[in-house]
Amino acid sequence: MNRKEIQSRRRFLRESIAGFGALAVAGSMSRDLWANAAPLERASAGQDLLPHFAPRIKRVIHINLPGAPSQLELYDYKPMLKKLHGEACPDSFLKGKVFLAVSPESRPRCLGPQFNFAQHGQSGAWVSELLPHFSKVVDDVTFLKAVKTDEFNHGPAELMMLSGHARAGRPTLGAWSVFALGTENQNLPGYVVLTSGDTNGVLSKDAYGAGFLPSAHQGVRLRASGDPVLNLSNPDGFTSADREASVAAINRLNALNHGAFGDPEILARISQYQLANRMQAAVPEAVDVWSEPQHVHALYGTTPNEASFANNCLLARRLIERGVRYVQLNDNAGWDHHSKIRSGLTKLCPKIDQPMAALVFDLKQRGLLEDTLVLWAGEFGRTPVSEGGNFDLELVGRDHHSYANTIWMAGGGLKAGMTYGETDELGFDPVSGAVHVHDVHATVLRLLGFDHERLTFAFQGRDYRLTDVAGKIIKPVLV
Amino acid sequence: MSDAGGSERESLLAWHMSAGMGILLLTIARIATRVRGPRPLPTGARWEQRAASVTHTAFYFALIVIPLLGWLIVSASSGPSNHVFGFVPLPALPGVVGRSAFGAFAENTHRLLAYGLCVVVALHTAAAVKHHLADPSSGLIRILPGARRLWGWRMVSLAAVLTLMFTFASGFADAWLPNSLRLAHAPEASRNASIDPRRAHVFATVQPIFMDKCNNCHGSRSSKGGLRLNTFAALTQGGEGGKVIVPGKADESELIRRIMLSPSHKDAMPPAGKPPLTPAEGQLLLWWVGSGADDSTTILAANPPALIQSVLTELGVSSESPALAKKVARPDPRVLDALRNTFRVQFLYSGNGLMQAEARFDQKGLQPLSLEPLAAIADQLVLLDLSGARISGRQIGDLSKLHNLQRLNLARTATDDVSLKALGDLSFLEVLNLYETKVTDASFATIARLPSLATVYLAHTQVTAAGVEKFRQAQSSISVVWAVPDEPATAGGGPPTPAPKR
Repeated sequence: MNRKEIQSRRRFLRESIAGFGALAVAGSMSRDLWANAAPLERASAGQDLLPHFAPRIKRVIHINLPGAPSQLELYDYKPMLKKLHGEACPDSFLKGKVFLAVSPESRPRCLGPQFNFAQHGQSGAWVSELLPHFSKVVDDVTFLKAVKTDEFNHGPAELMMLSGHARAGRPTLGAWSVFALGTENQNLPGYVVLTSGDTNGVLSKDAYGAGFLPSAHQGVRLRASGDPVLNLSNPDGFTSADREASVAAINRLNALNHGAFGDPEILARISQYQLANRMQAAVPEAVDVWSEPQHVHALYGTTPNEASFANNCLLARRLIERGVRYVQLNDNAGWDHHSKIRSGLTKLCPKIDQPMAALVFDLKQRGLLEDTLVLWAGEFGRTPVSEGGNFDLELVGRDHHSYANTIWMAGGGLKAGMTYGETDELGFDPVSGAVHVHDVHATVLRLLGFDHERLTFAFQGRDYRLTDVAGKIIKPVLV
Repeated sequence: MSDAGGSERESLLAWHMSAGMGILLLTIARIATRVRGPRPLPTGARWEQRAASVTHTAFYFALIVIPLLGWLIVSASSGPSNHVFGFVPLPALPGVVGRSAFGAFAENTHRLLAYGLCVVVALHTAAAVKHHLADPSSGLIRILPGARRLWGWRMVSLAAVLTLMFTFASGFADAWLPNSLRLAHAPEASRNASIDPRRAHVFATVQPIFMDKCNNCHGSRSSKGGLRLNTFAALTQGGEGGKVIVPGKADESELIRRIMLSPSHKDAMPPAGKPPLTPAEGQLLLWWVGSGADDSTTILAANPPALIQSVLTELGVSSESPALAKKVARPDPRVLDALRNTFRVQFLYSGNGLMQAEARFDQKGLQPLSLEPLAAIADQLVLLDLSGARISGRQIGDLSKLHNLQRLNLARTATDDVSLKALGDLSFLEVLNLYETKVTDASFATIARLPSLATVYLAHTQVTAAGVEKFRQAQSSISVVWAVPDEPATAGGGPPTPAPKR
């Protein structure tokens, strides 16, 4: 018996410690080995990630109204505010709040709802007289009346609503959605942006950017007049065969470049050129809304040769029928009513009322609402108090209000005809059902079948996600 | 430990099981060494030697039997924690799977023996400390090379602190371990995950509460107070003290009285020391008894108030269609490759073989589509979208083989009454889209025969308003999406005013 065996217990203890350590290191290095949850799988050629749960929706139509339409004149009926119209707002509501122009010391006055409200449909949802067509479809809609955000100015708040972060540079909800879902139709982009309205938006490409995600997921803007996509059609004398040959040559150069440098953006560039080629054939047919029968045009209220919101709604429906996953409708009509809220809304609401109602109705009739989400949101709400000293009802308006906003959603997986969340009697703060923009994003991702905490992208050494470090799914509105 | 719920508990159990199997292996190795190799000479007085011998035998017994019982428990149940350290699958012991009574016995014995082991450990520790202090050449110095008395003190106190931490800090490991080292993530939905509220009975959500919190004392194995709560008949019968449930009257029901008492009350149920009912569970039982305490009302028919609806959501009753929660194996990849020429097929979600398919966009309308190849994935296919595809009426018959279909979209195809009939009785079909097809009122009979159907889309077909109305009255559980036709267009444009519902 040699000495080594006599000391075997000591040796065994000593050596086993190294072994357990190795196990722990192996575990932390390969998460997949240790976690029961399977890693995000990629399906085959479509480059799709497999959802974590059974998806309820496959596509999203996002109606984005920069400027922030006034929820107090559209959806959130506050009879107490009407009663206190013209009186100085009680300090208790204003304490500790920050608005853009209104300061609590200036003793702002309560501004009652400027239009009449009524309850509609089986669900009894409150909608004002400004939206008569929309009132007919409220039974298919879920309202969230207590949506909070952290930002009180347009740029950061729009970025927060669109990309989950108040500073530019992050991928938008649309980019995350197509990153997660891939595209159905290889001849059309997965994420399309349609703009209407005369004013310039505050954000330019950040409103539909892909941030650090591969740029193939960036939104493609379809223009309403002229060429739908700039530089898509061939110049005179240049045939499609010529174009294909040049694109093939460019892509061979790009591939050589990629072989040398390995930059993944080059691959995105190659695929975009190929997509552009395929789009040449597919886009003209897709954007040809005038091939729709007359009754459809009557339903939406479209106008020929104009970049109207109605045209865009109809185009959005056509695009999603052709496999586009995410259509973002930016209506830059000028919703920022710091003044002249009465005339402003009277002028603008008819332009969105019929089309958005028609969209919900049309999607429902076609059975598309089963697996589509329509999301309508401004970046924040508007204050219950008036802005500015002049209380002339023709000139008065409301300031930005980050503490409570109303948005609506309609589609698969949501409880139709439900109103979730409530604000206090004057509409300042949520009293129940308060949700943050992050929670809305988490819910949208959940409807798409993804756990918002597990849909991540590694960048700059950490795993980024749409909801950053927050976000809780709004379970009560999910079926 | 009993406070940790949900995924924390699962993660801890996974660690516990892995540690247990590790200990089992180590003990077997230790016994092998002990039997084979030389043993150290016994020291100390005779009583010390006998005590040591008894303690060591108890140790070996416990360290073999306790992990074996644990293995039995894991085999008898079927939780997610059956992979040792996350990757070595633990085979189930034969003859035990699913026998929950046996599992309960094993659990109790496992716990009792573990307490016994704690006693033995304490004895052993006391003896080790005694040796270390009393005998300079003994104790830790013998095992650890170069150990000096002072260093030994630090080791002893460190060991004591760690033991106390692991014993008393419940959730310690889970709270401190990084996510990457968690062994188990519990599935998001709870045991109620596959309940479809349109068809499930309220009792199906209430019964798991009884099984979980009451069964040990009022179940198949024992009936304290003569009361069993494991079947509906037993619930209504009551026990030695009479009936415990008065249907419709929660305030006269003894069961409700007892579960609503403060935990320190002597009559409170479950009794002190056992896991109490959560507030959500209590509310659910209160509502169930108050609304009649029967076992035949569906959740939908019972029309629970908002509070109970959120309770049900909290308890994980999801409206996830049972058809989408079924677990199926994945099909052969070669089959999928063949299908991908004409269809876009994709798995529904990760970890399950369920699939969805649609006619490829670049193929739509170009040439007639053959539906026969889809039969190869009949077990997996749950969603099928053929909208706008060129299929003839005869081909619809091929779809009758897809017995697991939950959603079928035939919008804008050449489907008509005859071909719809060929669809057969798809027993899981919940949504059928016939927008802009040629079906007429004659198809209502076919539609009515689909047992699980919840929604049918019939806009722009040849059904008449009268036919729709008649069908809606006869079949209130199927929602027909159809609006008054829009030619001539409604005055002023926009969607038509919805008809008032009955």
